[in-house]
Amino acid sequence: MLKKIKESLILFLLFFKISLFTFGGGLAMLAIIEREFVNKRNYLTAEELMDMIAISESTPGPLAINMATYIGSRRTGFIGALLATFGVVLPSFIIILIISLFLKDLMEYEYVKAAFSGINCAVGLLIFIAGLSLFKTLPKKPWTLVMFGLTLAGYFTIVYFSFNFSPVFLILIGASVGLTIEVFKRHTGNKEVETK
Amino acid sequence: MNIFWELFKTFFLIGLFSFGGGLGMLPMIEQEVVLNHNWMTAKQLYDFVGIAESTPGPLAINLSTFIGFEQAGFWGAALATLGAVVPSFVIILLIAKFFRHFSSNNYVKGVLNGIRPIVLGLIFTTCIKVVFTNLFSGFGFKADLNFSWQSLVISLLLFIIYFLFWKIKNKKIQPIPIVILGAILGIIFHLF
Repeated sequence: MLKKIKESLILFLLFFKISLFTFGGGLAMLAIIEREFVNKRNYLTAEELMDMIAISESTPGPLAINMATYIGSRRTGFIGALLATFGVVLPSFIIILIISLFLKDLMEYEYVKAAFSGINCAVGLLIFIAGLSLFKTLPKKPWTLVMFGLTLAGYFTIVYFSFNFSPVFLILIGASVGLTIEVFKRHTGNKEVETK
Repeated sequence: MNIFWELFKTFFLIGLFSFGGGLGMLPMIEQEVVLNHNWMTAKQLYDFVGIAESTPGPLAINLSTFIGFEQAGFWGAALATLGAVVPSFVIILLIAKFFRHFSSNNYVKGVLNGIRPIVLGLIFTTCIKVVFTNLFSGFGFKADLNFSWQSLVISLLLFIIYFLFWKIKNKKIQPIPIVILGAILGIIFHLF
């Protein structure tokens, strides 16, 4: 029991450090996790890491959180998951709290306002880039492209006319369609092998 | 209505449905935070996304902490962040324990193949909205449109720089340099 707690605290510190120095999201964290956990400490094998990445990308939530929870639970069960996740979250939490305290006052300055109007343009570009990367991972089957097109047209209309229609419903519809198509494939005895 | 419970609930929902990375959450966050709860304007949200992209840690956590803090101080931040984290935490624990072969399950793959195009559509719509808001200070049927030539120039410059860097050096620029560049260009074009 004591050993579990000590190990979990080590996980906490590791993930705290990783999170503090990872800018740019989960993928950057992957490289560090491979180095620290697979190469240096042997907490995971490379195959296990790949499995974990696949799972993290198939579940909702930030990659970083998913990874921390998974690695933590594999090492020392619930306590490990809890402390690892806490470690990932804490640096952001503290830094953002500090920034939030000063933000309102900072926004009064002309220089800051001007900077932010430029930053907003950068954000637009970043979203576009994220969209493009996601587009590349999309299997280019007719039905996925149709769904993409429909969502784009549909959600654009919703946003343009300020209709109050939550993206959650769209996501649920997508999930159902995807599931239905999969079930349909099984039932028509389609032996086509799905490769990732 | 208890603000703490609202924050937890809202971010729980957001956390439960975020696929496609931090920016994939943005449409959901806009829906819940801006439209449903009026906790901030869309522009304030985008401003903060800029900051959140430049600070360490997952975008989702940065956003939930900030929005929670704005609404209800430290405990608001704590509960919003907790809400965002709990769905992932629980789901991953369950999978780690019972469903190791979760990601190779064909039905799971099917569901994901269904969700991805939707998320993509949401992201691109949000992208269009953000770009429009930058250029015209508003977006939508009833919006008041105010063109900003500075935003057009800055956006084009950023895009060109990103594109050239990619083609010439064959590497993609990281988010932080882009944000910093945006900030500098913003100062140059708005104040000089």
